[in-house]
Amino acid sequence: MLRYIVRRLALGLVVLWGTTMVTFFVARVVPSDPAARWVGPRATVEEIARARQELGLDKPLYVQYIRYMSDLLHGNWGTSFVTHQPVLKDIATYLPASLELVISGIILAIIIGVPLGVISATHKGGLIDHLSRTFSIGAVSLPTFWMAMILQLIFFGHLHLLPVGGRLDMSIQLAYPVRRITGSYVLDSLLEGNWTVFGNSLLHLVLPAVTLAAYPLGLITRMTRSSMLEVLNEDYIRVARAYGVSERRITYWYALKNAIGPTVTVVALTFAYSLAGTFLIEAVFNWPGLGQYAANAVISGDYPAIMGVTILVAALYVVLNLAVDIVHALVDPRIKTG
Amino acid sequence: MQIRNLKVAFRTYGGRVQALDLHRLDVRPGEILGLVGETGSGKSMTALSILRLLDRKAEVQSGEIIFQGEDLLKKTEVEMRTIRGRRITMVFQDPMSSLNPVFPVGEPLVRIIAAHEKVSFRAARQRAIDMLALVRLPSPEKVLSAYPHELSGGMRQRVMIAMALSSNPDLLLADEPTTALDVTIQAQILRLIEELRAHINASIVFITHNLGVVARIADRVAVMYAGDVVEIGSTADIFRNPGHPYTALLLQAIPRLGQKRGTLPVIEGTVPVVTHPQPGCYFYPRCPVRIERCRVERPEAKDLGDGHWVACWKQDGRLPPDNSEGNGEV
Amino acid sequence: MSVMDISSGQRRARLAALRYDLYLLRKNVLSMAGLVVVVLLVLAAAVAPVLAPYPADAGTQVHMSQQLLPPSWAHLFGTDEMGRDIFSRVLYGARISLGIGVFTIGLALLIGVPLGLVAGYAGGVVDEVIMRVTDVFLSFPPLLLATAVSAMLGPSLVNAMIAIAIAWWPWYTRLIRGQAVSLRERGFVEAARATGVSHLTIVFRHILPNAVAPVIVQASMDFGSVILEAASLSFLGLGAQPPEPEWGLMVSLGRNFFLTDWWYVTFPGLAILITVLGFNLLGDGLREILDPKTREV
Repeated sequence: MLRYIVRRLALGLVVLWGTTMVTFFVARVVPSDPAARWVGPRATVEEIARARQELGLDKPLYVQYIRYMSDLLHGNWGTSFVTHQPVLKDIATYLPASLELVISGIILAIIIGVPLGVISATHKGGLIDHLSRTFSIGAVSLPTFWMAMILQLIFFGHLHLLPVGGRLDMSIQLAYPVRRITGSYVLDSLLEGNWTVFGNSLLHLVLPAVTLAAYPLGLITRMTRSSMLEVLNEDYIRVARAYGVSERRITYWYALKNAIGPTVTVVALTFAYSLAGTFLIEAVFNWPGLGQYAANAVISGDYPAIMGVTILVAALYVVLNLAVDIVHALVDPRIKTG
Repeated sequence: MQIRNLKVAFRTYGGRVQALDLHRLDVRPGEILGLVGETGSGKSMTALSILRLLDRKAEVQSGEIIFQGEDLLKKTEVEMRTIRGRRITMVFQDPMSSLNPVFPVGEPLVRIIAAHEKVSFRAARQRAIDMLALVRLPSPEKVLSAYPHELSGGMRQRVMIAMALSSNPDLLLADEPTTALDVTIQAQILRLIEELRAHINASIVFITHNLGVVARIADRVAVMYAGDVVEIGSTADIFRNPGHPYTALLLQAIPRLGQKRGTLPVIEGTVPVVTHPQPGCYFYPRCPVRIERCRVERPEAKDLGDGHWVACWKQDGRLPPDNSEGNGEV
Repeated sequence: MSVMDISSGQRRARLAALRYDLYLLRKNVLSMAGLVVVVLLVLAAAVAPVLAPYPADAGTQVHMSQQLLPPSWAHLFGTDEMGRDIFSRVLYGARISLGIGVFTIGLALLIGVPLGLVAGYAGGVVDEVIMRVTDVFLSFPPLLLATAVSAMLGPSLVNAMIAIAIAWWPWYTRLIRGQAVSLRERGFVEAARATGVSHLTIVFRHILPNAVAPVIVQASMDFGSVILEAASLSFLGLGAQPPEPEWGLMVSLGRNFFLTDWWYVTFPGLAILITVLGFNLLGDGLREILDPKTREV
């Protein structure tokens, strides 16, 4: 088992190293002149030249890469052009809000998607199956930024039920300062027992979380359905039927445990996808998270920030992949780990 | 148990296929009935019909399956669940795929025993261990917590047999329980069944295409062809005095000691796929002794005495003398 | 039986299989719905100039007197802040979206297919290197990589399409490599090699035609996702630029008015949804039919 983990870890490191190569090239080679961007549009030629020297852009490419790597490893991810803060510090500031959003969205997607996929599989070809498939394909076809606006239009514009954006009402934010523990307002207020903030932050979370849930929900439903269909055709399921085991126990116990593997993978991968995709949702809901930070960086050409976020998400993706493989090996006794 | 006029059809792209058109099949209390026939003759289909486990595309059109005075085809799904795995159990062909790979062997076994016997999990666990010991599995407690992939094929089939016997059923359907195993393991499993006969009160329907196996353990034999039983009788009668030309051909296909090599006869052709039921005998196209009547009229089963029934117009089943030899499998 | 007989028999069998595929597709209500959407979309794109009531509104036309009118018979989808007819713009947008799909997937194929062929045919170190590179690219969520690349390239529709293709090609490389690996050992390839045919000829004459079918199918299924990604980039301001009637851009511009003038964002967004849904439904049906595990007999 340990050997397996070590080997997967080593492979993961190779891929991670590759991602730094890609981000380096995208960041340092593609843009026309990073130094010009660094000093701004009204800089003189001398200023640009000085900046070039400061940024090490006059050195050969491999020297630049080595310096870039050593900076990365020492926790120096560059300084944002916009906030003039270290990128890593910015990320620490903005990440919790995004995590709050992504985690609640994915939990929502799992709670609805897994049972929906299962029911769809057990009623294959029936009305429920058709509805759930249309629903799941529809969910992955939705432009999230548009869905976000339509939800705002309905629940804020017409029904006046939910806030249009942000994480808290301004008045509440000023009246009830919440100590930052996890960075999630919902959790922190719960830990502090501050019900006003808790209720208000939860209301603010509803629409963004629902919007974010759409895509993972579609994938989870689909994956659960197809792997359940496969498992329900297995001999051991027929054996269980032949021994009078109830359909419910067969479906939710004997079949689901076999079928859940691919769904776990999808959940892990969509987690990283969603973290990368939040900028569309955060932009519309004015949610001060990593996505909005990245979106601003994109608009203002703040490439240290863009690269920081990109590497973070890619690294997260690699780590999650690794975690999923290890979880599979732990859950499924058949996987050879030697 | 009696089956009467059971008709089962499959819906397919090409249209409806008549899978079973079974006029009559009785299983007597406590006997082992060998059910033989080629692939596609409807043996497994018969077993699955009894348990009402046919898949969605199959449809029971008519007939009755009387088990202990009640028609199983009229039972609700909930009622069937109290019969399945308790009064009627089944051992499947492939022990490799019959056990759930992500659960220890004991999980379903203990749970099924607890549900059927209405006892605590601890009592069920003890019973499961006893059953595993009964089927001669070494260190049954270890087997109980082992995962299927840690057991050999023979061990897994023993587990399945233990599961089938755990509820002390009235009818045990064994669908080619030895086919997927290699020859020495086959022999061990057959020996196990022979040894266990004293402990089993159940009638056993032993489905196989291997006549050697049937000769060894069955009290009676039913021969199926194209969805119907064409001959049934005591094992001795069937083997010594086959009444149907198909049975006779099957018997000739068993290799015997001292026989010349290389001259195994085969039965020309294959079991027909019945899309449009026809009036005549389904074996007509392959039959060496057919007469004109066989083409136009389907033979009804006639009693030759001693419960030996044959569905053939000629009934003596004697073949022209040039047919001999075979390979034992159909 | 002569060789001719075999091949004509095979052809007949293939035709029968194809007919059966079509039968399954027809039976699948959802994918038929998808097919209808896709066909309608192509038609709409083709005849947009004829169908659009105000063809000039697809460009920079301004009608100051008709700003932000709600939907009516004159303007089915209402008008935008320049007084342009949104219905006409949505129709012209179909051309852009289809064009995005064709160009982006074409580019991704152009990068991915040769690399996959080389990896699968050459094997060894070459294969290893190419496949690790695809691993690296696949470890970026596609939208993120596309966003980063297009941010670096600068905002324009062409750059956005290039960026998406850069994030997309590894999928095709993987797919075609798998095909090439299995074809490499087949008789006709070995025969060609034995008679001294050059590697280039073998790869393009013998392997490519036999390996390309699943890639084509996959590529046609990817249309929906690619169009959606391009719309997302345009929404961020990284893709199409005004006054192009690109749907994502229209939703983005309409954002300033959406709480008061609901139609502005609603209809272009709906156009994205229906288009992507159409391609995805069709693709889902195809997948189901072509996958032996889910294929019904």
